[in-house]
Order: sequence, then structure tokens, then C-alpha cells
Amino acid sequence: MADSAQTARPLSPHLQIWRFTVTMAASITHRATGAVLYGGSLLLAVWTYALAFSPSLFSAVSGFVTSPVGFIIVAGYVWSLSFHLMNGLRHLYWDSGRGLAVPTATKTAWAVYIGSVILAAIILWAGYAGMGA
Amino acid sequence: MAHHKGTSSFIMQRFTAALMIPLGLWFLIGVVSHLGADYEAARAWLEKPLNGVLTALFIAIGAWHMRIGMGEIIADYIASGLKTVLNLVNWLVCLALIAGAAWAVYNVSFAG
Repeated sequence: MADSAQTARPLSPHLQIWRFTVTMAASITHRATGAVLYGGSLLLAVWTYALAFSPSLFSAVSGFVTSPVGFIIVAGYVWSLSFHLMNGLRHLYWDSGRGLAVPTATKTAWAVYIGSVILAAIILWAGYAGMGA
Repeated sequence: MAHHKGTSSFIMQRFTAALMIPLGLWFLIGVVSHLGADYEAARAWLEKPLNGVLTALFIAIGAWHMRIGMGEIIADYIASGLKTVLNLVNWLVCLALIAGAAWAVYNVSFAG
């Protein structure tokens, strides 16, 4: 695996060299939300573990979810999943060879930002409204 | 990804992505919108075979997709020998996630 050809590979250009466009922002956000979901899935694993083995851990998790910090984490996870899912559809559409023209890609980038905020807001509203007492 | 399996990684990334679309929507609607459920209600929900299977699939296929994506991030930004270590850690995290989720769902479904 660790041959010389591999260690000589160039690194990707870093964030600061790009001029701001919404398509560039969506690309970076796609990767960032992917990394967030990586961490979030570990929290999801804690939730399933608690549900299977530890009612007291589960109630601690439930309590945390309703705290302000917990809400920010859940909201961040839900929006990240919404964004990554919708922008992933955009990627799959590109893979079919369509939607690649700049005006189209710009429109779909805006649509993904707006649509993911709406989807996340609906899901969070449903999740937290059900908590009541 | 720098392990001479670029084409299969590319295809598996798309394949797992396509599977994650319905699973992700189901997860958002089925799990997150029931955040307020207490322990008994949440357990009763996961005990239903369809919910248990879909939860396990969401985590397992998601872990597979995560491994490929994080592998890309490592390949893009890490040049040193640290790369090999990070790739191994990435593998282990994703394997642990799959095993842990399967074990938890199994216990809720059959050992409860």
C-alpha cells in the first residue's frame, strides 16, 4: 500500500483559493456536512445502545436532546442530513450527465440550500412539538 | 482513494448514496420526528421488525458510505504516513458502528 507513487500524490487545493460562488459553497458544504454526519452517526450509535441496554442512559440522552446545546446538535445533524441528502441527489443527477451547465448548477445549488432548511425545519418542528410535557 | 480501487469506490459511493436517499428520508421522518418518545415508546417502536431492519440498514449502509467519503477527505488533505493510520482508524470506526448497531437492534428485537 505505502509505495512511493502513493506518497508522492498531490494534495487537493485548499479552501482559500476559490472565488466565492454558490456552487463552490455547496460543494464545500457537501463535504462539511458529510464530516458532521460521520460524527453524528456515532451519537446515533449511543442512542441505539442506550435503547438496547440502558434505560438510565436513554433518559440522560433524552434530557440532553431537550437542552439548548442538545437542540443545536440535533438541529445541526438534521440540517446536515437534509443538505447532504438533497445535494447528493444533485450529484447523482450530474452523474447521469445532466444539469451540469453553470446556470442550472447555480439554480440547483440555491434550491438545495433553501430546500434543506425547509425540510430540517419541518422535521425539527415535528420532533420537538411532540415533546409537550 | 489511493488504494488502486478508484472505480469500485466510485461505484459503491453512488450505490450506497442511492440506497441512503429513501433510508435517510425514512430516518428523518421515522426517528427524528419521534424525538420526544420515552424509553418504552421508543423501544416498542424499534421492536417492530420493519423499524429494526431499516434502522440497522440506515446505520450499516451509512457506515459504508461514510468510510468511502472520509477516505476521500483523508486522501485529499493528508500526505504523510499518518494517512495509513487514519485510513485504518476510519475502517475500524465504521466496522464498530455496523457491529454495534446490529448488536443493539438484535437485542431489542429478540433478547428483550
